[in-house]
Amino acid sequence: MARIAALAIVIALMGLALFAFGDAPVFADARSTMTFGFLLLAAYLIGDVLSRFKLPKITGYILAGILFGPHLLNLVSAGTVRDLKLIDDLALTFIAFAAGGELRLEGLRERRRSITLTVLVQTVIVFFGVGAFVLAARPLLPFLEGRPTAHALAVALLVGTLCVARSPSSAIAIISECKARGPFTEMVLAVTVVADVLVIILFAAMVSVAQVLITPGAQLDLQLLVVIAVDLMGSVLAGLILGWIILLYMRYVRAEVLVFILALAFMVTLFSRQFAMLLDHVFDIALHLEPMLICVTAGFWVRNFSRDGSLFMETIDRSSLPIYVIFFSLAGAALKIDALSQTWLIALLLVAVRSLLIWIGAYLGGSLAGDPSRSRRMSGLGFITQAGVSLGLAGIVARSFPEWGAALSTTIVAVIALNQIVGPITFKLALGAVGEARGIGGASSPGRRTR
Amino acid sequence: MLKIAVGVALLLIIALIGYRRTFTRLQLPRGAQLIFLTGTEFILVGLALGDQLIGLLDEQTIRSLTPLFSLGLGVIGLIFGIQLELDKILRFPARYILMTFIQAICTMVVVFWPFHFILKVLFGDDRQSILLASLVLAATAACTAQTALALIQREFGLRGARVMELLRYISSIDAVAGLLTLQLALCLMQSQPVLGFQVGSAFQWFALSLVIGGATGFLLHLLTRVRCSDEELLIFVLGMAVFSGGIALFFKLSPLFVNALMGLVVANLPGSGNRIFNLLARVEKPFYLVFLILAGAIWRPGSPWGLPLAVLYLALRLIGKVSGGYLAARTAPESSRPPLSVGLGLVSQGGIAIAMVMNYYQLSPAPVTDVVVTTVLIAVILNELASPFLARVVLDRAGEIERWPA
Repeated sequence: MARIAALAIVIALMGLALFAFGDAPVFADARSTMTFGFLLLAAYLIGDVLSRFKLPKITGYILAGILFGPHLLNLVSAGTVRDLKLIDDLALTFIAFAAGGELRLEGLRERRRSITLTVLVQTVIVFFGVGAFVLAARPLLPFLEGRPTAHALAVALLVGTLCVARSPSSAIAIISECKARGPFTEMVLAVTVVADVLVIILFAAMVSVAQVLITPGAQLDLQLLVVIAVDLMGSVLAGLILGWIILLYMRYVRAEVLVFILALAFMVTLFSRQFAMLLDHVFDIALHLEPMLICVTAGFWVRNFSRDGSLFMETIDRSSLPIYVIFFSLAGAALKIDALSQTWLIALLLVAVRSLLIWIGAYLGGSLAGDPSRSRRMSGLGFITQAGVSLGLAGIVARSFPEWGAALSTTIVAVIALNQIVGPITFKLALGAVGEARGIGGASSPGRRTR
Repeated sequence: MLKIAVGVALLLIIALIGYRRTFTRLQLPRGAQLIFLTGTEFILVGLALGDQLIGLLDEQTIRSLTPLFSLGLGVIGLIFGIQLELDKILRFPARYILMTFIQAICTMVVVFWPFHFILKVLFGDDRQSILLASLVLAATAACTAQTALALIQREFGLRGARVMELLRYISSIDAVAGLLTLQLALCLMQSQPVLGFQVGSAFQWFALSLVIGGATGFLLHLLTRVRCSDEELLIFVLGMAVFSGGIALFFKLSPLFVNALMGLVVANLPGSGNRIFNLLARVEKPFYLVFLILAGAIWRPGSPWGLPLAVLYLALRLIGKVSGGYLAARTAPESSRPPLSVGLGLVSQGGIAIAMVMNYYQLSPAPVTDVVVTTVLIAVILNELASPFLARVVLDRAGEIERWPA
């Protein structure tokens, strides 16, 4: 009751302050500061309330962002979400370090067959299955009305690709909340990370194919594929270098680790942007490094190739809760929920079809790999959630296909929004079902996860 | 790009490796050790990263990081406030409180008037800005940091030493006078009254800040009343520090003061005050260092008046501390009177003074503001260098240590 009363007071204070001062630009700093604190408190408290109903806390954080965001109560305005973008980026790099640190080399070696087959089978099934569904459900897509079949095919390819994408950040947040550990957990996280990398390559290829389909005389742009491949390899290389720097620091300095991590997160974010601008300006090359992939690689390297990295990972772990709260609440606030009201039917159908195909793909992949029965049945539930990468790619669709890109993007965003809400719930269920969630049902005391 | 990478690498070496290696390997003077111990060098790191030099932390980036800056201010204020447990403070002789405020007020008066005159001469007719700047300089001058005293106490293993106890007592609460002055100064600058009538407008705003601090303190108490994990406690504390700071910023009041008041309320209500204090003690350093880096990045030390005014400020503050300490010591009965030079032991300034001046910078950008910030930051660094020596002088005169042990 005390916490609910506190939540009510926090919301009331926020509302009063905004009512008193409105949206005047002179208060931008005060507003972003207050919003940051408000989201930390309100989102956490809502997550805490939902956890009493056995729902994942991150669902609460996301719902808090949606509820207080620009499309509903507008206590967190669109402008403030933009103002907090840098903090959001820093939070993402923290999460990426954590995700990389969860991937044990030994576990990946043991489960490489399962991971590979699950990724491949799922990708094929989801890609073709969703694509086929889009073609069949063409009458439900008003922006395709009167357009040639080639356009419908292009849309099917793009939607099929975007449905392959997952959310490593959501996965690691659920793993952290449930204090999950085990082969199932490692497999799901590894598949999620690999799939997210794969989808970038697949997306680049499908954008080219789609352009060829809808543009008479257009040719396949293989250069784009090369650029994407170099992007990814460059990001992995940067991640390895970063991991090496971290290990040197942990071996010879080991002071103020949290400040060091924050500085790294900032440098990665800044470096990626500056590097892209430099290449574009000096060499006319459109190439950029992926901060998420850099940090996942670095985290993986630190975790698996040195004993000195344990303090680094422990510090990330200890700092994780406020990071997750702010990241997912901002993600919720940034979701364009109005897209749901416009495309709810097709979005719901796509979510259902995608979920089913993911489950089938995971089951088949697990069967081929000889995974345990329970793991095969549950693993599909771990791949529902979608977030940042998918949203970014949806934005590219909107820009790349002026005739119907924006409308398609709206539909995709609605699908992502639903998956982002539902996905953590299903993953938590799965972790509980396979018995790898130590933090569910009072199995362990609250507090820091021990390794 | 290369310049940025090399610059950042060098800075990391100076700040982080220097902190560890220099302090443990080289026999630096105590004052220099104190600079590294308190992390003051991170201001210089921030300065180098800011627009003045490398440009990594440009204005846009700093604005995007305002919540982290406010978090640093909030944590500093909260830590200060949560140590003000009234029953512990009142356990000491009543004259200790009197002595604390006598020396603080004396210091503020000695600093305020000359600077008010000099700043009017240098910066012309903006009377409001000059008044605020002078009051901020006075407020920061009142503050004393404990770090030098703690260092000496540990070095000499002092227990039950009365003068050391007095010095630590004064240094733990004299910032109250400074914070009150800062907040009143900001209230004086408000253009509209709270309640619709002009009479006592500044006190209306001050009362509002008390209400905000009290309400947020009660809210934090409510959140932490029920047993919660360390992780949850961290969320509540950090969230409230930033949230209350944001509310204060909306009203152009001091987040530092509001958070200090929040801490005071929590400390004096039955609940998790001790747990919150222990948590803050564990997590304070990283937030403080980030705050110092951002403070350094914001700092614009270009004015030619910065250094001379810093020297003047140092001199006036020292006079104020010594004369204030003298007056304070005279109030004590002969039998328990500390050395009349007790003010020399109160020279160290430290984090709260930096926080106050950066809080002022955040709320009042004006030409005089840069000079005030430069003055205080330089003075803090120089005071850190001198304070251990001066503190040892006092303790030696009190017979509690040998100034120059064999």
